[in-house]
Amino acid sequence: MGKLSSVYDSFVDFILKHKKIVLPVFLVLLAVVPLVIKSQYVIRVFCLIGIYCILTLSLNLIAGYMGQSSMGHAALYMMGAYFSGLLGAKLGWPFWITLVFGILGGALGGLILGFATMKLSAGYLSVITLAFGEVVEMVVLNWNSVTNGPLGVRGIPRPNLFGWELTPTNGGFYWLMLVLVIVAVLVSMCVVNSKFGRAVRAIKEDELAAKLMGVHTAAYKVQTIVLSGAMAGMAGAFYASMNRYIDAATFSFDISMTILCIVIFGGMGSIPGMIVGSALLISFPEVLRSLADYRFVVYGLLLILMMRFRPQGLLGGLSRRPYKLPAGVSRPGKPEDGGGTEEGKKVS
Amino acid sequence: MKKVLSVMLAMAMMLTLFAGCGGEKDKPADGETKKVEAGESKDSGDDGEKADSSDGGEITLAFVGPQTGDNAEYGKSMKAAIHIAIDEWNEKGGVNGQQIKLVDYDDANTSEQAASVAQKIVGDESVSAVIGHFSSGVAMTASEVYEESGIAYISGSAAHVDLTKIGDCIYRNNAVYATDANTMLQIVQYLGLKKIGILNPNSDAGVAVTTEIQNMMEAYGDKYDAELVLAELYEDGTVDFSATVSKFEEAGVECVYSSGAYAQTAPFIKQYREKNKDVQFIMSAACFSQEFLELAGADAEGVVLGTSFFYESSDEAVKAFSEKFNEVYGSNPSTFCGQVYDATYAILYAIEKGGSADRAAILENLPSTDFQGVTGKITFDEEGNCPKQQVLLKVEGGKYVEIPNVLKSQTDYEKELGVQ
Repeated sequence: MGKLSSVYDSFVDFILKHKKIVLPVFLVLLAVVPLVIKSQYVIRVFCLIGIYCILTLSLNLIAGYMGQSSMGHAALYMMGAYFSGLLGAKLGWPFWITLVFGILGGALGGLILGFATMKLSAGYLSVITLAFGEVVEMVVLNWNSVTNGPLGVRGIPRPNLFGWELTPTNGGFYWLMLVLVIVAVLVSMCVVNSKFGRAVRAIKEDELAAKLMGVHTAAYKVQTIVLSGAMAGMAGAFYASMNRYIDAATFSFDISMTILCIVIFGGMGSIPGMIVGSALLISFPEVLRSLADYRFVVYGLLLILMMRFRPQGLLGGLSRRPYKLPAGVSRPGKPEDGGGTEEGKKVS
Repeated sequence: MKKVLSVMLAMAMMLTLFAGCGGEKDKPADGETKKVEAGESKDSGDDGEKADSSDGGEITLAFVGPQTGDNAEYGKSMKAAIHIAIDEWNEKGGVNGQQIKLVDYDDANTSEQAASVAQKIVGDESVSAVIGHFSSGVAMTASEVYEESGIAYISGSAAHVDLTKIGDCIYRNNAVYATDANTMLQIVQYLGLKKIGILNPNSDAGVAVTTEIQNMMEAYGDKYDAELVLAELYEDGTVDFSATVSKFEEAGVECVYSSGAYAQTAPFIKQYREKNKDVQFIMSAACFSQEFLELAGADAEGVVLGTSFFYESSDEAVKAFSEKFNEVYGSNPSTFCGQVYDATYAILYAIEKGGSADRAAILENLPSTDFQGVTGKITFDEEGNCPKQQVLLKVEGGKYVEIPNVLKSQTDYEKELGVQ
């Protein structure tokens, strides 16, 4: 067993060491997927993985870095999808504009949620986010004149890039997904490695201490949730355009739970963890199809085993990279080994 | 104990290891994913399936439905019904000399999985046509994929108004909301009642049925002599209906109609009966179920409902189907089961007629479908809907009893009423 774990560690070390080669190769391989794989089904599963990458990266900002858990993340996702979908279907606006509004819609959801939860944390926050999810779903279900109520929104337009219509069939959606995931990763990295990110992590470690250090905790909390909402909204806009039909049932509480599961499974506070977690947890039910009735049993069992034996998640836990100090600050004495989950800068 | 624990630990580590590597490799290793795909394309299909012969002389139909999750029961029973239809054809020599086989997929009744599964099916060249998907929203999402790739799809359960409007590949063998609404109006008239109350679920179906009823009553005007006094919606999961009951009582309704599922309508009926013994309840096919009778108990007596399929019907074909279904599945077939059974027949007739299991040939021949199925006469209108004529059932002595020759098709009824 020790051997296995050391193989795993050295594998991760290998990637970290050679990331300058591994990363571009990985990206190129990803980019040519639609050219090589002709199965629309596989491409669609990839797109779904992409959507969940964005969603988990978004929740990761709140859960992984700020240490607060959101159980209503599907609501932000839904707001993005509905803002974008309704503008596209009812007013015929092109996707690129509705995408912006989808992002704004998610951010608006984040703003409302942020103000409602500004002074809360931990369990209280979870309950509020849970309730927020239900409220958004109820509004969408009952505001018939605008959202079309339980009948859903149909005929959402596909994106059009200089006369080239992106469809799931011609690989367009796949590449669009790839671009959006990269945007989400870059945003996450920028946030984490900025003053903003350090302040947010300080809130996670000790909110009172952060306050004493002069961190305006309430403002940071709201900003983080708004940013997280914007990312979820982006995923929603993409989903709406890919599926062309959305209804409230699509963005149920189950989706919130799936997102949270992936964040925990992948390793809170780890950007690659979100990507690997999404790839695994979204493809597992598909790969396990041959097990028929038992596929979700196996899926559940896997999650239980994972939590029992690796509670920090796949790529969570101690970072092997030294903490990057701001310029002009030197390391006193012997180098510190990163103490917390998200101490080090992560590779991606 | 320690040994067991260490074995488990080792297993878990192997899983994580596998998972960790798999994750990195998952995306770039195209070959691997492809292999999984190829190996997967012929999964599933467990009970009642014929031994796999070579692909050459076989026609493949696909069924998608929830086989895990909350609605698994619906998916499994629908699958059993399709198997019965396919076995019947195979016994008499298949279609055009070719045997038929069914591949089945699970969508857990979620839109997300349904769209993926739909992609998987259309990517499998051997599949000729698709039946299934349980909920409306799920069917709507998947239909976009079927329409785009030009494969015939028949739903036996979805009721969304816009479903068949998606395109020419999308068909439905299920009562549309207008049928339910019209059936309700016919029943009210038959019973000679004047003041109607409606309590529908706040779902796509509930809202649409209410709207259809309102529109129809408006169109019929003076020719229809009952009035709608109160229309209410309830949220899924409601258990206490006392406020709603009071509202209906204040409005002085003579009958209450609900298109809701029995889990909600049964308690509603019980609570209403506590206050008023005389009110007449009119339900939809959603309450045509043994569970409804058990839940509502003695209060179910006198409840009337319209359904397109009655398993105890005197019709020979229905009897034969019900018997077979009971044998295979151990319960009476639901309306949805009857409807997917007929949908399977519709596709197989289309293949027989066109002499080819080609996707395009099926699409060409489906519009001219015309046969007597277990759920009535099966024809498709321009949009792809099957106009349904329902039968009236009444609960008597804890059982459903058919009241024949009361309900007519919407067109016949409107002709009789003098509205067009």
